[in-house]
Amino acid sequence: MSVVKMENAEKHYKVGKVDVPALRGINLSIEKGDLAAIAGPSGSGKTTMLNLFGCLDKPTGGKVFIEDHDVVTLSPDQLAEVRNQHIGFIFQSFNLIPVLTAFENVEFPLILLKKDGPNARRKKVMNMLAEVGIAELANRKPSEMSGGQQQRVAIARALVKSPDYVLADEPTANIDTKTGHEILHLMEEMNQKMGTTFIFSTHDPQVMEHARRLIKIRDGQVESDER
Amino acid sequence: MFKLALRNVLRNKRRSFLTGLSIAFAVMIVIFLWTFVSGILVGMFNNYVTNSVGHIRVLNTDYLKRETMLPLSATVPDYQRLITTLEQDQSVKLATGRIKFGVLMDIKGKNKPVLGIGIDPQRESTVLGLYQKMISGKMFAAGTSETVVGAGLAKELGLKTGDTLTVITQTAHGSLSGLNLKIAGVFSLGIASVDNRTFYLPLEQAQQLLDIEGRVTEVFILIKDPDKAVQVAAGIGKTLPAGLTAVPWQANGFLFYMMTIIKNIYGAIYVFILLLASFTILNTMFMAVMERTREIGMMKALGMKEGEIGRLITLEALILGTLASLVGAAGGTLLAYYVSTVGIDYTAAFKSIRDVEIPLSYVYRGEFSWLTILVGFLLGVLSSVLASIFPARRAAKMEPTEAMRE
Repeated sequence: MSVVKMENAEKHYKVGKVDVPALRGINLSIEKGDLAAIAGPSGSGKTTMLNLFGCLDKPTGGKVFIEDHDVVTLSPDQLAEVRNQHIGFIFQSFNLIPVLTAFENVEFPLILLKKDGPNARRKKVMNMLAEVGIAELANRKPSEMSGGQQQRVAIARALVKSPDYVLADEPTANIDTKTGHEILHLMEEMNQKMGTTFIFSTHDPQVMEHARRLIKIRDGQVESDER
Repeated sequence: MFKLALRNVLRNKRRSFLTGLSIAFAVMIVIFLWTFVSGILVGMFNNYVTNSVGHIRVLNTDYLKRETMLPLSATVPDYQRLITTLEQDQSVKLATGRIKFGVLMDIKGKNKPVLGIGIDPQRESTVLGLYQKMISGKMFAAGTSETVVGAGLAKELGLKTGDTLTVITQTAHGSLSGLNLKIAGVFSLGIASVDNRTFYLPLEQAQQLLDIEGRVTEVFILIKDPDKAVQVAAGIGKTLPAGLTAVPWQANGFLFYMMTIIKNIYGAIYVFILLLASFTILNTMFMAVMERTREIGMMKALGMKEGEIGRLITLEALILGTLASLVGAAGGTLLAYYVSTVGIDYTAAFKSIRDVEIPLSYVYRGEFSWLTILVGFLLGVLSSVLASIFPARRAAKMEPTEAMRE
């Protein structure tokens, strides 16, 4: 079963009067339970692809389907709703809200979701923080944590609402190799334990080894797709 | 959401503090100025009202037509009964007879027109500002042949308290008549045109002098709510005998015009001050929004909608504006309290300008009002929120893809 699917997706950027193609006809379906790495050199279209998978942007041609919703037809607020309900995000520079504690950062998407009351939220957040191994840091602010700890908070934030899939944009780029491995192990563990679908972008060969599906792209096209 | 907004306000403490300070300062200045200016306005209004036009005056219709001539031929007859009737009216605070007449006085060989006002000192004791404005001597009592003279006039005539003022004028029937009045006191209202050319005397003395016993030139009325003078005057007008008319203060074009103009000018000044202060909010919120481009992008990526982002930014401005306006209102209250009780003393300033030796007291007091403080506070909050609209929109329209950018 596919959680997100691209059909002949194209993305062109206009730089001045020049038309720059970033993606040229991508056909790709991410299946439930995938741990997929999107790899490619910089400028290959990784980030653009992730933006489309993340409903952060719309394709200029072709289609993107999330649970049978055609993203192209949705308004910005409807897209926000889709992101809120279906997608978790992990950013390369963690992107936590600096004025909120670890607990509050993880709670944030649940508040936006407006489904749970305070008690239910608290339970979910604490479970999730325990799951990523930083329950004792719940009351720390991002500035009081290491890069690895911050990324664990970010993972907890992405997973706490049990999204259909999680997008991770070079999740280990800003942390040292050892911590990076720990983070990847954590994502693998979550993938196996909770069945969470992960899509992450990387250009680090070591990271690719952890993936169970490796999608290589070059010049805006899929070069290879191996399981 | 409130927690997040509050912490965002506290994020850059110094910047928020300085921004808040400018809002607080603006609110304080507005409250202070407002209090002060309305004090002066109320003072001006009361002076003008109690000394000349009242809230309403009942006049002879012919008198109204030739008012500048102060015609003694067109008076109000049987005024005692009129006063008794008027005082039954719930909205009337005071009704009393007055006689205004012109006198030419000889000052160093030149004729100077002077205004004599006959009043009932007992009836007017609670309203007429004169009682508090005596700079020497005291107010005359009813039934005496005494007078009080404006400070400027007394000086020109070379008279002081205890001296005798001789008044010679034409009666209502055209014959000459004279009167010697003992000067019981000298007053200064701080209005040059009054102080330099007015004297007051007991009503019955004026009636005698002018040969108009049982009559007055006007029935002077003060009512409970001056803003309703037009309606009340219309009501009174219906009950009056033919030949008499009731004139509200608003009919005095000059006073009404002045009050309106001054209020409008100051209204514009308050808005301008707050506008300046709200520019600092605008600037601060724009800076805060631009700095947080990626963070806002991230929040949108997590599913926050445009409206929610906009509200967050507006909420931050609201918190900052409310706290700052609260501080400003507190400071403004203190200032307003000071200026309305102690007042600002202009004596020194006036002395140097006008070279007056007599100890005039030109102290202006503000009109303290909680409403002014409340409105000042609300204006501060409102302008903060309005100033945040543009930055909030900017934030709401930011692209979620910003979150992915390194």
